[in-house]
Amino acid sequence: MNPNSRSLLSRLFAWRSSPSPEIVDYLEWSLRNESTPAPSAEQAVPSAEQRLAELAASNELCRREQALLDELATLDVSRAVDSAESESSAVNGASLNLATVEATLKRLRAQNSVVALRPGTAPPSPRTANSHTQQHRAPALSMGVRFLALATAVATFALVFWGLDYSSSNNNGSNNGASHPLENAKTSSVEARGAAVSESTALHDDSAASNERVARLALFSGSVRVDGQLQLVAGQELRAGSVVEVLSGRACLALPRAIAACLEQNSEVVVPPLGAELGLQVRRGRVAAQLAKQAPGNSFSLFARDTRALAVGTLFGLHAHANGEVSVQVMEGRVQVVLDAAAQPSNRHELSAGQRIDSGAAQIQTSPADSDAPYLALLAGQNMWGVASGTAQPHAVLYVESEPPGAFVRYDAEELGVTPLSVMVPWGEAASPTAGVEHTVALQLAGHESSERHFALDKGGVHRLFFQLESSAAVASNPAQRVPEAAAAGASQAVDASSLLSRARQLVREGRWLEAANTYRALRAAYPGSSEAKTVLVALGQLELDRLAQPRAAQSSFQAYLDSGAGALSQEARAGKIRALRAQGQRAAELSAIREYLALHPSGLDTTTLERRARELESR
Amino acid sequence: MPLEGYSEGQLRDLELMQLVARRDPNAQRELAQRMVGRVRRLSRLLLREPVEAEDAAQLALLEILQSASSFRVAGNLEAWADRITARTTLRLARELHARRTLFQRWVDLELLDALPSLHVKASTGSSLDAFLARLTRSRREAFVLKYALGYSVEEIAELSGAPLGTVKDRIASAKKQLRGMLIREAQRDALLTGGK
Repeated sequence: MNPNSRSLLSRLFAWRSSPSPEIVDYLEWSLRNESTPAPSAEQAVPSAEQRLAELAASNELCRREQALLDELATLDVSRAVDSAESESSAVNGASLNLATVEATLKRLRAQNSVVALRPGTAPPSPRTANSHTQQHRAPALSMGVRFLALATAVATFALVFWGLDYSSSNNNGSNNGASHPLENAKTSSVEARGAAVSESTALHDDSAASNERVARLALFSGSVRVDGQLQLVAGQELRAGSVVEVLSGRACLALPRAIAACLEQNSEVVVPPLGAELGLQVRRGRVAAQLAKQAPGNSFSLFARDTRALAVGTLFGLHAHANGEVSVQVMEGRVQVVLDAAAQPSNRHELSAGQRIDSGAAQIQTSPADSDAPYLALLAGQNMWGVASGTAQPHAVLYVESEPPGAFVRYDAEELGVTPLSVMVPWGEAASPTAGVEHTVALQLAGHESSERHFALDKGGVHRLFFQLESSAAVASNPAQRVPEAAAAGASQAVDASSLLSRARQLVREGRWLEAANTYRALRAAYPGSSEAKTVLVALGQLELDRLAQPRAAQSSFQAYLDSGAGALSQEARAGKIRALRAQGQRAAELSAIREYLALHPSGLDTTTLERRARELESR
Repeated sequence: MPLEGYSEGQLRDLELMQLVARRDPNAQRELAQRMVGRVRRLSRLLLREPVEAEDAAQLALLEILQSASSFRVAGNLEAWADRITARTTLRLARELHARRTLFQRWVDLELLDALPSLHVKASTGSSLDAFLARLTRSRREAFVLKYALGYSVEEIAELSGAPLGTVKDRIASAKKQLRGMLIREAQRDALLTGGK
C-alpha cells in the first residue's frame, strides 16, 4: 500500500498508533471492495480482482466482515433468540417459536370473536357507529373554546398530549368540569393525528381507531409494562389496542365516563376503543372495576375468553384463571354475565352484590366473606388518583423510588403500593380540601428504617422523590433476609425475582455497578431456586470482573454458573472465567480453562485469540 | 388463472395461502409455524429492544395471516412475508420513536434522567447482534434492509421515507462503523494477547 493511501486511511480511522499489517490489509481490501465495480466484460481488471481475492483469503478481518454480512443475508433463523438477553429463551428457542405462533393465532381468534361477541352480548344501543364518533366531540363548545382548540391544534406539543390540552382549557375556565378530559380532547386529537402522520412517514397508515387516546395510566406500582415498555409514568395516555401488563405490584387505568379499572400482578388487559359500549379485554389475571352510573345507552364490560360481565354502574371484578376458568364477582350494584358468549349469547345471568359466578360451574353462588378483599385492595386510593384523572381539574404526578426498591408507599392516609410507584394526584384550588396542605410520603421496608418526607404540592408536572433507605443493624448483618421479609409482608404486592432482576438491570444501565451487584446478590439469596438466580451469575461475574475489580469473586460467580449444569450462557461463563483467572495471574489455571473452552466451543469467535493465548502460556 | 409454468412448490404455497385467506385454522397454524422463525429474526435485526422485536414479530405474523388473500402465485412466499415483516416492523419502530420523542417533550427531564436508558448495552463480541446494537435506528434499518433482504437503495428510500442520498449515507456509515468495530476488536485482541 502506498504512503498516501496509508495516510488517508489513518485520517479516516484516526488511530493513535500505527496499525498492524493485518489492519492495513483489511483497509486496503475495504477500499478496493467499495471502489471495484461489478465485473463486466469491458471493465474487468484481473490484477485488482486478484489482489482483492488474495487479501480476502489471507486476512482474518476480511473473513469476519464477510461472515457477518453472510449471516445477515441468510437471515439465519436459528439465531432468532439472542441468548445473551434471556437464557430461558435461548434454551427453549423452539418452544418459544411455538409460543409465538400460539399467541398470534389466539390474538387472531380474539380479534374475530370480539367482533362477533359485541352485538349479542351488549344491549342494543340507540347510537350508530357514526353517531358514536360525533358523540365524543365536545358537544357544547363556545366559539372561544373552538378558537382555543384550533390554536391548540397548531402547536404539536399540546396537540399530541391531551393532558396539556386539557389543562389549558381548564385554566380558561371554559370547561364545565363535568365530562372526562378524554372526551374534551377528542376534537383536537383528530388534528393531532394529522400532525403526527406528517411528522413521520408515508408508511404510517394506521386507522384512526388505533390512535384513539382512550385511557390514562392513573397509578402503577412495581413492574408494569405498556405495549412492552417499562419506562412509564402516571398520567401517560393509553391508546386503543394498548396492552397493559402487570408483572408485579398493580396498575390502575382511568377510562372515560368515570370508569376505573385496576389490575393485580400477573394480569394483562387490552385497552378498548372509545364507544358507548366500552369493553376491557382481560387476557389473564384479576381486574377490579368501579364505575359511576352510566347514561342510557352507555355501558362498560370486562370480558375474558367466552365470558363477558356487563355493567351500567357498579363495583365488580373478573378473574381469568390460568386454568382457563373465568370468575366474576360483584361487590356493589348489578352485573349481567354472559357465559359462553360465542355459542349462547342469550344465556345471561344477573348477579347482584355479594354474588359470584364461575364459568365452569355456571351457577350463581354467594361470595365467600373475604373474597371481596383482593378486588377492593386493588382499587385502593381511588378517591385520590380517580379524582385526579377523572375530572377536569389540574393534577400533578408523583414518582417515588427507593433504594432498595419494594418499599411500601403511603401518601397522606393512602396506602398506594410498593416502589417504584407513580400516581396522579390532584392539586390546586379544585383539589380542596387538600390544596395548600402539606403532604406526606412515607416509606416502609422490612429490615430498614422507615422514612418520610413532607412537601407542598405547589404545581403540576412530575414530582420525583427518591428515598435511600438505611438498613437496620439486625438486617445489615444478614442482608439475605431483606427481600423475603418484604415479600412476606407484601402479600399481593410482593417483590419478586423478576422485579429485582429488572431493578438490577436498571442499575447497570445507570452505571451504579456496586448497587447492581448487590441487587443481583440479594436476588440470589432471596430466591435461590429461581431460574433468575442462575442466570444472573454471569452478569454478576462480569460486573465483578470489569467494573468492581473483584476477579476472585467473579471467578466464583462464573464457576457457580458452570457448576449448576448446562446453560445457554456457558460459553460466556467460560470466557469470563478465563479472564478472571488471567486477572489474578493464575497462569496454569487459565491455560486449563482455555483448553476446556476450546474443546467445548471450537467454533467460538474468541477461538483464534484464545489459541494464541494458549500458545503464549505454554511457551513460558 | 392459468397455472402452467409454476413449480409444485409455488402451487402448494398458493393453495396454502388460499386456505389461510378462508381462515382455515390448520393452514393458519402451518403458515405461522413456517414463518415465525424468519419473522422473529428479521424483527430482531431491525429493532434493538427484544421486547419490541417480539411485539413486532407478532404484529407481522398477524399481518401476514390477514393479508393472505393478497398473495400471488408468481411471488415467493418467504420474500412476500419478508416485505410485510419489514413494513410492519418499521412502522412499529417509527411509532415507538415518535411516542418516545413526544413523551420526552412532556415529561420532566429530571425524571427522564432517572429512567432506564432506552438503549441496550452493546455486548463486546463481534457478533452480528452486537454490531447492530451499536447502530442508530436509521442506520440499522438501512443496513438490514440492504444486506438481509437485498433491497435496492431506491426500495429502502421508499420503505423508510428518506431521500436516496440519505439512505446511501446511512448504509455507507453503517459499513464504516462495522469496519471500525472489527478493527477495534483486532487491536483489543492484540493488546490482550500481547501480540501484534
